[in-house]
Amino acid sequence: MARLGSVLKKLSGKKTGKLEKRWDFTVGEPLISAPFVGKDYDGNYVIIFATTRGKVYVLSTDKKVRWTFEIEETLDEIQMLFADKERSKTVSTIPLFEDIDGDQRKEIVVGSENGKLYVIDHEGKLKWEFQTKGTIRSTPILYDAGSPHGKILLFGSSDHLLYALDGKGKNIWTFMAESGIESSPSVLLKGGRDDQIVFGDNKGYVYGISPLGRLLWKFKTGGQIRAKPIITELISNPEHRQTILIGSYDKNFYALDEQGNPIWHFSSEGSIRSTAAVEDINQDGRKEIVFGSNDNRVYALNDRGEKLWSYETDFWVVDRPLIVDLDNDKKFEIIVGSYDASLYVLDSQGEFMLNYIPGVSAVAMQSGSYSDQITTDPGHYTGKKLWEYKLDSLIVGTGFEQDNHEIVVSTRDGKVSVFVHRE
Amino acid sequence: MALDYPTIERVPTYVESLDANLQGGIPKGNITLISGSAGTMKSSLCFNILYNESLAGKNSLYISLEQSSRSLLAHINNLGYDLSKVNIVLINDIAKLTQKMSEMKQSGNLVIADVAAIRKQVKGMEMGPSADWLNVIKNIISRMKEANTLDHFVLDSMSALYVLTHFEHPRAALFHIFEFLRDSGITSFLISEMPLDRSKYSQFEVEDYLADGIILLELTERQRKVTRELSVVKMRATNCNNDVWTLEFKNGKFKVLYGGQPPLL
Repeated sequence: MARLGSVLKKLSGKKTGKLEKRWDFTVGEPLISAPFVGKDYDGNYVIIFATTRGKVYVLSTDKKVRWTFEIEETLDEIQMLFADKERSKTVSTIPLFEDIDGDQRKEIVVGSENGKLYVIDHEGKLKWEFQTKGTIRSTPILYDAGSPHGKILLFGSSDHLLYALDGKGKNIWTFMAESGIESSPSVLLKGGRDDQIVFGDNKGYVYGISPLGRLLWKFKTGGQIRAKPIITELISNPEHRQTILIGSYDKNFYALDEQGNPIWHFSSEGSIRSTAAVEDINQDGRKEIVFGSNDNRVYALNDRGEKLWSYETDFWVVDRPLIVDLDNDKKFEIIVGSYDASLYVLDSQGEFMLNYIPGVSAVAMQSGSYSDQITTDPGHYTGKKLWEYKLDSLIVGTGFEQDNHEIVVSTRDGKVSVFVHRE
Repeated sequence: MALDYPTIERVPTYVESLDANLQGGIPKGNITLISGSAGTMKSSLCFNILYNESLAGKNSLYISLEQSSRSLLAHINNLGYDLSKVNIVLINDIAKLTQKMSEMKQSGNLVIADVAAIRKQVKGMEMGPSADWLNVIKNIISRMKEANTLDHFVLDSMSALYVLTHFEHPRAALFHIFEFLRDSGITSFLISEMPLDRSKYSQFEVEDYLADGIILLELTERQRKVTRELSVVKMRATNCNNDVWTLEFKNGKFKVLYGGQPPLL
């Protein structure tokens, strides 16, 4: 009977099935950063994550530990007294997994609270480390700057500097921001010298700097910036002008042009720490923007900054939403973890509210948060939950394995879990 | 099924009449802000608690961030406390921290950490980016707990900590300090310098609601006479009178007078 119901649902275009946990890997120490999920040179997927006690894990997707690396610190008695033993080795950056030095092997790059950037080779051995004078919470990126430096690593530190290092760890240039940098940089690609490196700082400035580290523009928001800017040709145009999309702790989500001028902003009711995801989620030929806010909601905006729908969870949404086709139905789903300890899969198109106020029983029958249902004006879209999986601890980050459609989730209590959608 | 309410153990303040008002004292494990302007005897009141608790066999830690241990002990001695009755352990050299910890008796220790002296010792030394004076405080507490039990802790003062440590996110940093102290289970007294205009109990104001209790000390001028006054602004899990009391200190003993004996106008 249940199977018949499922078939009928499917025929009517309704989503069926559920989220199922494939496995859990217990680390035994807290996690505060998202996992990296991607392919190694051998074509196999790996899951890479780092812990608050400075241990980096590389797992295969069948839960086997390929290798681990542990940050080591030698401190004398005086340095020990000054050190934050709980946090000094903490890794809060998402691991970067790229061939940074052209040796045809991918290295892992992580930054730590002790101010060091670590580059680890494919066997888990330290290649080199670089010391800054602050803590590193800004996830490093690799950027091909062309001649003469080639690929360079870019990351910020709480010492107010954005660093550019070559593949061997040599500091090429630094850029001094107004305050500490926790936002990961992004690159606005225009071709060679016209490229821009874009990032935010803790005083709320968004900067555009040249590939040689010279300030081009800066834009002030009203709060700290911890999200990574997303740069995209939001509205298709013949000159391929791009838009910078970034959220701030001032509760606003901003769209800036290539000169750092505001195009529009959208006000949420909470600080925005989540990095945005951009895709044509409703197949209307235009891009939409999805991000989380500390007002507990996930928002979907159109390319003019107007809300399409929002979905309310029970706590902050810090995780970057993933836009993927989880169930192979050629439609996108939004995957996002919340600090309420639930993993959500949302319908990318939301749900249309009927043009009448439903009774209590009708509200209770609908998916999604009741408060969203009740407060959304009839005739508009609201967020629609497809599936939810309750975990034991707040979700700090998610990743996606494309081949087998697996969701990888890191939780604060020190677990990495893998989920799949099953009919 | 009836709930099993835990009984509240209390730490006496050793201020005559005040303990009766506090149902026997401050709840054990509470964090109390001792707030007041200069000259209101904040440090002396805290030392009074630690001294008397040491006589009762408890282990205490007094961290002085600005006043040297030498100056502090001279002041306390002058107030009439017999320092020979308690086992005072002075920490003014980090290199001898382990040795000093071993000098502690099983009970009744009053450890004074002279951070002013330690500051001079480490001046100019290169430390890691996460190194700060807050970690020094946390690590001394942890080391003392590892070496022995620790019942009470005084930080003199929060204002000096703010000068020594730059907090990029002070509210978050303070939340973690209070969380650390609460998790450690020790009864803590945090001395807070009040601005002269008496506009707030603490610098970032977040301390007020993070603390379990606030004891306010004031100097009140009436004509040409200055009176010390004490009031319990808040004290969680305690049914107490929040009126202003007159605070007196005579022969090494504190006492409060309800309603006081206000000078004739």
